[in-house]
Amino acid sequence: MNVWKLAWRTARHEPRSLTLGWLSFILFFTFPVAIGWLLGVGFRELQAGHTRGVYAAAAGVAVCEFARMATIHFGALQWTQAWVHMQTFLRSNMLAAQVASGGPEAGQPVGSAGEALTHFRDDTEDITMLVDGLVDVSAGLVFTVLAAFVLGNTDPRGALVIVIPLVGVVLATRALDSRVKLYRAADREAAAAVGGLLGDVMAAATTIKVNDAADNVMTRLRVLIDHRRHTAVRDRVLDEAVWAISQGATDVGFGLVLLVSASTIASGALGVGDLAVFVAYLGWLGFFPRMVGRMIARRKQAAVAVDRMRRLVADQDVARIVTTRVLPVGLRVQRDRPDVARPDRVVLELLEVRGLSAVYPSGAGVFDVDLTIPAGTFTVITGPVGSGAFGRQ
Amino acid sequence: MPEPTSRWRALAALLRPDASRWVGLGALIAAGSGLMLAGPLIVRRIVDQAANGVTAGEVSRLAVIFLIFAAGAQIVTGVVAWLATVTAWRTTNQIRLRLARHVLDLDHEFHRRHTPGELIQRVDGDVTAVSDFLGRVVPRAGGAFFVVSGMMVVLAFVDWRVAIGTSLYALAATAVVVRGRHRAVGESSEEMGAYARLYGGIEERLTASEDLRANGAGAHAMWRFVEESADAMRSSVRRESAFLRMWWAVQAAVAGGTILALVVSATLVAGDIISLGTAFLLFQYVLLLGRPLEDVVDQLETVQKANGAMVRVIDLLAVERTVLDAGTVSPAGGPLAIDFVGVGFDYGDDQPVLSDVDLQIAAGRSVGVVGRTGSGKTTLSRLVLRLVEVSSGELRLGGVPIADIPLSELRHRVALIPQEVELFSGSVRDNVTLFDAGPSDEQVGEALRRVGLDALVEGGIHRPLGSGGAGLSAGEAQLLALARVWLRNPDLVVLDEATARVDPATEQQLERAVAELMRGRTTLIIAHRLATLRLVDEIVVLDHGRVIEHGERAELAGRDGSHFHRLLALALDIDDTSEVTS
Repeated sequence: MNVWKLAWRTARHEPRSLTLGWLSFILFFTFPVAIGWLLGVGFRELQAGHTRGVYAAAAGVAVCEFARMATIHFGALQWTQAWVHMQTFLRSNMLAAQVASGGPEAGQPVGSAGEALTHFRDDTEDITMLVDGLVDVSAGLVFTVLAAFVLGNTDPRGALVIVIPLVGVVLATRALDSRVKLYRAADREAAAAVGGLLGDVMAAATTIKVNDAADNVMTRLRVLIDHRRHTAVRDRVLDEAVWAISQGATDVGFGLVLLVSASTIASGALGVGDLAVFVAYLGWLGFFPRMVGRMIARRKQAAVAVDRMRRLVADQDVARIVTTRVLPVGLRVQRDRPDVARPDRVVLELLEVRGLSAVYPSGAGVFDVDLTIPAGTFTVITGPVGSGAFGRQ
Repeated sequence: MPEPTSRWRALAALLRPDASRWVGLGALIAAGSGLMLAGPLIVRRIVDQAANGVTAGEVSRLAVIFLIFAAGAQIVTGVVAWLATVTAWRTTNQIRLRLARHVLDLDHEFHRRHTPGELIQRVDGDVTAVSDFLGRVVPRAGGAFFVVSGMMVVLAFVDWRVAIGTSLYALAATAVVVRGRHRAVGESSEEMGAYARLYGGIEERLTASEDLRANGAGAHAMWRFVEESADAMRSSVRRESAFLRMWWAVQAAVAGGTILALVVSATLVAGDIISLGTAFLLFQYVLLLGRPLEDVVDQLETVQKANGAMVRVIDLLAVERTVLDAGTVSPAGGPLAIDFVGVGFDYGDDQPVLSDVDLQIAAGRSVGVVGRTGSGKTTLSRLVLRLVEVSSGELRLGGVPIADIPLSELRHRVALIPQEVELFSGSVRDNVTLFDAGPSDEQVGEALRRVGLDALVEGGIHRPLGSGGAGLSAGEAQLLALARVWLRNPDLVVLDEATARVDPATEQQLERAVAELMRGRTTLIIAHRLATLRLVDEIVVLDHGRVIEHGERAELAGRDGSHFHRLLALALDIDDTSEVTS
C-alpha cells in the first residue's frame, strides 16, 4: 500500500467534517481573486480621478473580506475535528495491535514505551499533514487558475513571466526532495533516542536518585540532545528555506513583470490599476507552489512515518494501520462504555502442546516442546534462567 | 498561571546565555527588512515617472534595481531562517537539560504522581514547542518590528501626515493582535494538558501491554483511549474557537488597512496632497505590514502552543522539592548505625503509615524486616534512603540526624536494591554504572562476576541491553542491581527482595551474593523469602506501622509464642503442602 492510499483510507474514516472543511477551504481561496480584481478597479478609478468609484471598490473589498472570514471560521472548526478524527483513527489501530490478547490483530511488543510513543505523536501527525497538504494544494490550485485568468486579461506577458520564479520554487523543492526523507528519518531517530532515554530515566527516577546518578544521566542526555540539535536543524531549515524562497520568489516575479512590461508601463498602457492587481495577487500566488513543494516534502516524511508505524501492527502489514473501526470521539456523539461480554466459562479439559517452537528475534525461545497437562493437575515449569520457562506463558 | 509579564521575564532569563547570537540575528533581520522596504520605493518612482512621461529604458533600469533588492532580501531571509533555527535549538537544549535535571531532583512523591509519559511530554514536548516558537516566530516578529519602524522613517520623508496615520494604524493592528492572543492562551494550555494525558495514557498502556494482553484487558484499555481522545477533541475544538476569534481580529486589521489605504488615498490624491506613486507606495506598504501579521497568523498555532508550553515549563520549574539538601555533618566512616526515635510518617492525610517507631540497629548488623503487605516495610526503607521525610520523631544514621547529612554523601553511603529493577536502553555497562564513565571496564566486569553474572561479562559488557527488562529475568535484574551496589561500595544497604519469578538456581546465586555483600556493612532486608532471613542477625516484625517485635533472629526463632516463630511455622506449613503437590 502506498502513502497516498494510506492517506486516503485515513481521510475517509470520518468523511463529514473532512468534506465540509475541504470545501470551505476551496471557497475561501476564491475570495482573494475577487478582492485583487476590485483593488485594481479602485486604483484605475483613482488614476482617473473618480473618488466615488474608489469608495465603491473599497466597499466591495470589505464585503468580500467579511465573506472570506466567515467561510474560514466554519471551515477551520470542521477541519480541526477531521484532524483529530484522523489521528485518533491511526493511533487506535496501533494501540489495538499492542494491547490485543492474541489473534490476527496482535502486533509485536515494542521495546521502549517512550520510543514507541513517538509513533503515536509524531508519525500520526505526518500522515494527517499529508491530507492537510492535499487540501492546501487543491485550494491553491483553484486560486491560481482563477488568478491566471484575471492576470492574463490584464497583461498576458507579465502573467507569463511571473510564473518563472514560481516554477523555480517547485523545482527547488523537488531538488531537495531526496534529502527531506533522509533528514527526517535521522531527526526522528535522534528524537526517539532522546525520548527513550527520558522515558527510561523518568520511570526509574528513584533508582537514579538513590544512586546519585543524575549527573551521569545528564551527561548522556546532553550527548543525545546535541546530536538531535544537528538533525533537527537540518530537517527544519529545509522547511523554512522553502518557505522563505517562495515568499521572496513572488517579489522577484513582480520585478520580472516590471522588466518585460517596461515599454507598456512607459507608454501608460499598463496603468497603476493593473500593477495593483499584480501586487494584490503576489502574496497569494506564492501559496500554491509553496504548498506543492511542501507536499513533496510531506509525502517523503509520511513515507518515513509509515515505515515506522507498521512495526507496531501485526505482520508489519501497512493495511492494519488503517483498519476500519468505530471510534465515538466526535463532539456530539453519545459514548456508551461497551459492555465487554465475558466469555462463557468453558472448563478446560486438557492443555496439549505438540512440537511447539517460539523464537524471539534474538534467537532465544522454546524449541520443539511436547507437553500434556490434564485438567485439575498442578504443574510447575522450572529450569535455570534463560531456559525458556517464561516464554512458555 | 504566572502573570504574562513574569512569563516574559522568565523567557528572557532562559534566553540570556545565548544573548549575543540573538542580537546578531536581530541585526541580520534589520538588514533584510531594509531591502524589503526599498523595493516599493522603486515602484513608486516608476508610477510617478510614468505619469510624467518616461522612456522604457528608464523603467527597465529601475526594474533591474528592484530585482536586485528582491533577490537580496530573499538571500538574507534564507540565512535568517537557518541562523534562527540553530540558535533556537541551542537555547532550548539548555532548557531541556535544566528541566530534566530539575525533574530528576524532585521528590519521590512527585514521580509517584506523574507518569513517565507525561514527564517526557513536559520535559521534551513542551520545550520543542518553545523551540519552534523561537526558531519560527521570533525572527518573523523581529522582521515585523523592523519593517514597521523602517516604514515610519521612510514615510516621514514622504509626508508627515501619512506617516502619523500609518503609525496609528500599525499600533492599533498590533494591539488587536496582542489582545486576541492572550485570550487563547488558556485554551491552548488546556489542550496541551489533554494531550499530555492522552499520551501519558498510551505510554502507560504500552508499558503494561504484557499484562493487558495476558489478562484480555485490551477492550478496556481501548475504551480509556477513546475517552481520552474525545477529551482531546473537545479541547482542540475549544482551542480552535479561541484561535479563530483572534484570527478574525488579525484579518480585520489587515483587510481594514488595505481598505483604509484606498479610501484615504482617494481623498489625498484628489486634494493633490500626495502623488499617485505615493498612493501606490502606501498600498504596497500596507500589504507589506499585512505579510508579517498574516505570517504570525500562520504561526499562531506555534505561538499558542509555545505560550501554553511556556506556562507549563515555568510551572514545572516552580515545583519545589521538600527533601532539601542543607546538611553539613558527615557521620564517621565505616558501617552506619540506624536509630529511629519515635518516628511517625504519613502522606499528609492523617492516615499514619508508621507510628512511634523506636528502633536501634548497631553498625554492621544485618536486619530482616518482615510484616504483611501494607505494614510499612517499604516506607521504612524509603525513610532510611531519605526519599521521604519523617513526619515526627527523628531518624539518625551513624548518630547524625538524616537531614544533617549532605544528600550526595547520603546517596553514596546508602544503597538500595529495589524490588523491581529498572533497566535502561543502553549497554550492559551503562546499566551497571548508570552511565558513569568513571569505573573501568575491568571494575564493571569484576562487579558482575562477584554477583555471578559471568555470562553477561563473557558476552561483552558493551553489548546493548533493552529497557523493560528485555533479555534479563527478574532474578537476573536483581543480581545486576547488586552489581551496581558492589561498584559503589556503600556503608548501608537496603535490599527490597523481589517477590516473584526467581528460579532456584538464581535464588541460590542471589543468596550467596547478598551474604557476601553484607560483610562489613549495615544491611536492611525487606524480606519475602525465608531463605534470605537465614542470613540476618536480627529480625524486626512490623504490623500496621508499628514495630511489634525486634530481637536476635536465633532467639526469636527459638522462642515459642514470638511473632517470628509463628511466621516461620506458617511458612513451613505452606512449604510442606507445596512439596506434596509438586
